[in-house]
Parts: sequence; structure tokens; C-alpha cells
Amino acid sequence: MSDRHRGKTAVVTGGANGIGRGIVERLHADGANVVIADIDMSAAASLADTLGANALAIETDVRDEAALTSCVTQAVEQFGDLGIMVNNAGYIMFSPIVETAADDWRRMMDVNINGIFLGTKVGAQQMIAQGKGGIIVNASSGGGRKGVPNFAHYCATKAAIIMMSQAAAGELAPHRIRVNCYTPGHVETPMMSGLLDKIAGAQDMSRDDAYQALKDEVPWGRWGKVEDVAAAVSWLACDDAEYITGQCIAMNGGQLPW
Amino acid sequence: MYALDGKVALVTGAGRHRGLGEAMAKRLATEGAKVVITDIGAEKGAQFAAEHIGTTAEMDEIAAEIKQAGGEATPHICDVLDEDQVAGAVKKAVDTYGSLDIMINNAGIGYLMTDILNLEQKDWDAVLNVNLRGVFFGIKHAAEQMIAQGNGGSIINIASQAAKRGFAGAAAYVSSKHGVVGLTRTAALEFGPHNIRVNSICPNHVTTGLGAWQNEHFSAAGGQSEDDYMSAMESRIPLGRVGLTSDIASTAAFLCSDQAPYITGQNLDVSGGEEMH
Repeated sequence: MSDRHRGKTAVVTGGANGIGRGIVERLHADGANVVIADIDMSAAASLADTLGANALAIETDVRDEAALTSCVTQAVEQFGDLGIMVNNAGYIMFSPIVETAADDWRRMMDVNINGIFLGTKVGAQQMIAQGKGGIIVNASSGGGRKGVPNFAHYCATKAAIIMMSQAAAGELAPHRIRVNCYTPGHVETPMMSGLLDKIAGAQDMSRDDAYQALKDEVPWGRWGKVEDVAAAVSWLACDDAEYITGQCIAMNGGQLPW
Repeated sequence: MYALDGKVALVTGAGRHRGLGEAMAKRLATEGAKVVITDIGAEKGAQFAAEHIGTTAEMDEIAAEIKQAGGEATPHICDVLDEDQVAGAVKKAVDTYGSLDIMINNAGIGYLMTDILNLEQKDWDAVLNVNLRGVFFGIKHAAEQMIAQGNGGSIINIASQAAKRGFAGAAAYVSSKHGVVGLTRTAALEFGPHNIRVNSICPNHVTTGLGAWQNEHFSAAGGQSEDDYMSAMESRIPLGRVGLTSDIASTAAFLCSDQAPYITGQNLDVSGGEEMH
């Protein structure tokens, strides 16, 4: 990897599993001190143990502003100024609109968009106080740019993240804080694996066929990997990308080429 | 940082000091790539205003500077209006360094800017043919070579902020750059199965040689001093400054590296937040 993030402190919400874990591992490999902020404390602690001295697990529910503030405070106490805030925590659920309970809708809004707003807010507050700028990267999705049947709530949150991030990019630029999003396509994660059965069921096909059908949508001919996302996040957070803000970076094998 | 050792890159329009092409070629060379730099050269460029055309000597100087810095570079005259010459530039890269792994279609016309009512066909054609048809030739011949090699590759087209919005008084330029976006998306679809990624970079204003001409031209057209024109521009840009050639060069290096293995069909704004779509 590189040492381009050496000495920087990075907080990654939802950093214990899936894409978040890949981002934690990449930033760590590129020299950062990483804080794994997650509700899954056992997975977070296990990852921190694996990574060693410059990794810290903090149990954090992104719906809770006080918990996020405490997480950032601990991160700074442990490792110094916050340089990189990756608001990655989120989830996906298969749920046709007519079957979606209002509470399920509200819960997804609470985690996927409110949690990213709060992470952006708390991260920006800390970076403004430090006065040295910083990088915020937010998790959107191809589903935030194109509606996907049976995922209306997820797509709504991911689209909202893009607009929130654009507004934040304009607002925080005078503080030298850059705000960007990543918009992956289908990525090989435990979360997507769990979804495949439902996607297959809705289309009356086998799980393997559903996997293949999603793969066939991608000109590049494979599903995305967490490493694809992690490499782009690490790059967005480095000085070579210092003029890039307000952007959505898609790593989707050309699936949504726009 | 981008591990381009052993890669062979061709950068068109790389024969002017202060230009995007020069900056990209130098960055790729620093990262270990062997580069062929091309430009139209004064002899072939007689049809265009002399101040916008580099001399062959200037391109040779840039190649020499890359070598002095420890890199590997070969200059080659290529008029992207001529398909045979574009094919010849690809052949030059292969003959010289054995392959072509990275193609950067950078050559473009950033002047001939006139409002639609006064825009003559010859100027429209010149801009479209260099900025869009030239990129088409570059993609076509680079992809053909990369497919024959069988190892994939990366193609980067230099579009513009003018690919994402209109600019009064620049219809031909804006149209050509919007076209580059459509071409990029289509090429990404066609060449994905061959592991060739195709992306574009959309810079906002960069004060290259052409950029300096644009500042003079548009400030005069708007009845502003150049300082006032630049201040107004900077105040529109969230990050508060115009682009630098280094911003574009580092983005190009990233896009053609193995750090962007799944990024294709994208048209990336490098604009300090001035464009966000």
C-alpha cells in the first residue's frame, strides 16, 4: 500500500463488517490510525485486535448524536486530530412499498440518512475546531442514482445522501473540508449475500441465477469488491484529490455509466 | 504511489509547457510509465492561429525534461484530425516500448469561441473534429491495440466542466465536450468485456496557455478587467481557487492505476466543487 495517511486519524462508521471493514483495512494499510465505530462491538473489537496498536473499536450507534460525538472525542484523545471521517454505516432491506411498515421506513431513514447527517455534522464540527481542514466521505450507492424495485426506502436514503453531501461540500469548503460520496454497484459483502435469496425469490429464480443475473448487468463482468470501494475512498482522502469535492465516485464496473 | 512501472502511455496534445498534457505525461513518467507524447507541431498546425500551436521544439523539450528527471519519453508529431496519424502514434508507442497500456486523449482546441449567431461552420468543424472526432480516433486505435494485446488497459479522455453545463459564447466547445462524455460512456460499455476501462476527467478552469487566452478573451467580452474576471470565477468555486494542472495529473494517474480497477464509464469532475454532477 502506501504511507499517504500516516499520522492521520480516521473514523469509519459501520467499520466492523463489509465495505466499512474494507475501508478500515485500507486506510490502516495506508498508514492511518483507525477508529472502528460500530454497533457490532464484538466484530469491531476483533478487527481492532487484528490490526494492532493503531486501531480502536468504539461501540457507536449512528442514530445517536451524543454517541457519535463521544466517538470522535475518544478518537482525537487516542490518536490526535481527526483527519478523515467516513460515514459508512447503513443497511439494506428487501421490501416492496405496499408491504413496508411505516416503522421500517422510519428506521431506515434514521440509520441511513440521519446517521450520515449526524456523522457529517459531528465530524465537521471537530475539523472546524481543529482549523486544518479534513475529509468527509459518505456512503451512497448506485441505488441513490437509479430507483431499484423493492428497495424504495434504501434508494431514497442513498439519493438523499448525495444531495446532503453536495450541500455540505459547498458549506464546508471555506473550512478546507472536502465532502464526497462513493456509489458502488453490487458488492460482494455479507449484506448482499443475505439479500440474494430474497432477490432470487422475487424473480422466481435460483440464488445462483440471481447472482449471475446481477453480474450480467455489469460491463466489467464481475461483482464489485470491497477493495474497489476502499481504494477509491483512500484516494479521495489523500492530497492528490485535494481539488475534488461534492462528487460521487462510482466504482460499479460501468454498470451505471453516468 | 500509483505503481505504473512497465506501463506504456500515450498522451496526445502534450507538447506545450504549462498544459494539462505535459503535466499528465510528467506525472505518469514519475510513476514509472514510459510515455509517448504527441502534439500537432507547428508545421502541421499552420491552419490554426500560431499562438495556440506548440512547436516541435517545445514538445522535444518536454520529452527531454522527462528524461532528465529519470523518466522515459518519446516525442512524436500527430495531428488528431488525421486518423492515420493517430493510428501511427499508437504504432509508435508499440514500436518504441512494446505495448500500449494507457491512452490519454487530451488534444483539444480551447479557443475559436464565438456566439452561435456568429459561429461559422469552419470553426464549428475545427473544434468538433479535434475535440470529439480526435478523441474517437484515439479511443478506436488504442482499444484495437489493447484488445490485440489481451491484457486490458485504461483510456482517459479529457473532457471539461463544459461537458456538464452550457457556456454562452462557446457552443462548439461545449458541444464537443458533451460529446466526449457520451463517447466515454459508450466506449466503456463496448470495451468492458476486454478489461479496458474508459473514463473522462472534467476540469474546470486551469490557467494553462489556452486557459490564459480564455481569461483574456472572456474578460474582454464581458467588459471586465482580467483580475475582476478571475476574482468572480474564484468566488464561484467552493474550494476558492482555480484548478491546477497537478490536480488533473494526479487524477489521471489514479484512474489508470490499479487503485481504480472497477471505475469505468465515469466522467469525473475535478473542479473544486464547482460542478457536482
